[in-house]
Parts: sequence; C-alpha cells; structure tokens
Amino acid sequence: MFSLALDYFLLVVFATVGLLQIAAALSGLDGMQLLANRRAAGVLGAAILCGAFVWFTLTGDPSIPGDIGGVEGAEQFGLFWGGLAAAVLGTYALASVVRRAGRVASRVPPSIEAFRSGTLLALLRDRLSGTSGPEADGDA
Amino acid sequence: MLDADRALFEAINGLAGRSRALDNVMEMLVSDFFLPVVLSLAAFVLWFYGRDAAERYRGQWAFLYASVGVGFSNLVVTIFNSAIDRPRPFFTVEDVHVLFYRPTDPSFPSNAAAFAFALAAGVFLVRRRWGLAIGFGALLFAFARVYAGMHFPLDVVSGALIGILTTWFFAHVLNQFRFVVDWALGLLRRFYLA
Repeated sequence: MFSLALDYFLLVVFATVGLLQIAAALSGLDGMQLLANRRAAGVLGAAILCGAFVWFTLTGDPSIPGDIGGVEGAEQFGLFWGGLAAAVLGTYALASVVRRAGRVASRVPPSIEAFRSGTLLALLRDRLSGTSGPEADGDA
Repeated sequence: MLDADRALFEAINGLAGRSRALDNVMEMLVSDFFLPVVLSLAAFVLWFYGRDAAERYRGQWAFLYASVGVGFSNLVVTIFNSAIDRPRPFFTVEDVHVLFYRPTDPSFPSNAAAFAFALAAGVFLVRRRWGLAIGFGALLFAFARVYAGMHFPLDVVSGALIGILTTWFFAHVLNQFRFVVDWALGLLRRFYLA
C-alpha cells in the first residue's frame, strides 16, 4: 500500500496494539483496555491482530531485496522496536482517552500491575495530585 | 558431509513446485515479515501478560533473555559469515525452486534460524511451554528457508545451534548482572513500562 518499510511499521504497530488488548484482557489490566468489557477487549484485540496481518499480506509483496526498495536487517530491527514503542504508548494514551481516565480504584505503586486500578492518565493524576483515590477520599 | 547436505537440500527443495497451495504457505512462512514478527510478538507479550506481578516479572526476564540472545546470536552469525563465504544454494545447485527474493549474503550459518531459535531458547529458559511453542515456529521457519531455496539444511541447523548456545551462554552472563537488570526494571516501573 505504502512503501514496504512503512507497511511493516504499521503491521508491527497494529499487531502489537491488538496483542496488548488480548494480554490486558487475559491479565485483568483494565486500564490498558480500549473497551471496558474484558471479553470485548480480547475480541477487539484478536480482530486488530489478525486484521493487521491480513492487510499486510494482501496489500504488498514482501519479497523485495533490501537494496532495491525492501527493508534491510538493521532497518527492520529499528522499525520493529519503534513500532513496539509506538504501540505501547499509543495504547496507554488511547485507553486513557477512550475510557475517560476515571478514578483509580485503589492506590498501588507504579508499574504495569497498576493498570488493574485505572488508566495511565488516572494513575498519573492520582500520583501527581495526591487528592484523588480511595486513600485520599478516606475510604481506603 | 557437504554432499549429504546438498542431497538433503535437493530432497526438501524438490518438494517445491508440486503443490501451488503448499508453495503459497511456504512463501508466507519464509518471509522476513511474517514468522519473525509473530515469534517476536509472542515473546514480547510476556512483558505484559501475567496473572500477577510475579508471573509478569518472570515473563519480562524471558523477553530479556530472548532479546539478549537474538542480539548476540546476530553478532556470532556475522562473524561466521565474514569468515566462511558459502554461496546460497541457487548459486551452486541447478534447478533450485526459489520462492523468495535472492539474498546475496553468505548462506552459512543461517541468520534467520539463529534469530528464531535464540528467541525460543530465551523464552524457554523461563517459560517452558511458551518457549516450545516459539520453538515450533522456529522449526517451521527453518524448514521453510530450505524449502524455498534460501539455505542448505546445514546452514539452518548450525544457525539454530548458534542461536540456542549463544542465548544459553549470555542468559547466564545476564544473571550475573541481575542487580543491574532489576534496577533497570524498577526504573521502568516508575514509568508504568514494566
């Protein structure tokens, strides 16, 4: 569809976003899910993951040498890690926006585990202000 | 040994061209953009997946072992490639069925096999079943490279051994610096990245 490098980057980004949705749904990381319902988030993730591979397979010919328009090994390495980073940060941001941040369910130390309690925006807001959350509300 | 390697190559590559459906499957499997991405993501997801923090921590170590293994395996393969310039099969064997583009770098050892088996070995050190599943994908990838005329069997077997042994060795080295890795993971946790 685009250049092979851009197609590959988009494949990694969307496949990773889909995979993160499945992982979040199976691990109970509600704050990373794009949909509130775990089953729905898992199905959405599977659809994005499969859709990314189907789109990549149907729209381009990957059998191109690196020196004439293909993707060299080092470039592929960079695009892969860039795609992972974009997908992780994109998932965090998108989940925060789509799920409207909300309040953290319980105050926990920062880590991926904290996504059980809320989205990134909610966790950051709770951490920075110290005014929200059950502890601050006095119901912890 | 090289004669046997060549004979085995001709037997496996000779399967190509008989079934259009099988060739299509192999064209997909041999691609640098399908199984490598699938296997890498299968390892990467362990960074996030886990019923609790302890299981996720183990998964993160699995991904770290795999990443370090892949990196150093690539280095070892590069050293071998610069020392042993074995041409690709389609340069030396007649009537090879080539199902992918024709790479010009040395055939021995296979970087593709080293990459896939390093990934599987790194994960296997921590998550046995997950590692075996990735290892199955690595086997498919290695077979497809021979089927599609990219490598001789000896190239992929040696690549696989390099991947496994290099990962095993550097995983033990990484364990010696566990306190550094744990410090780095702690830093990433502060940004919700681990």
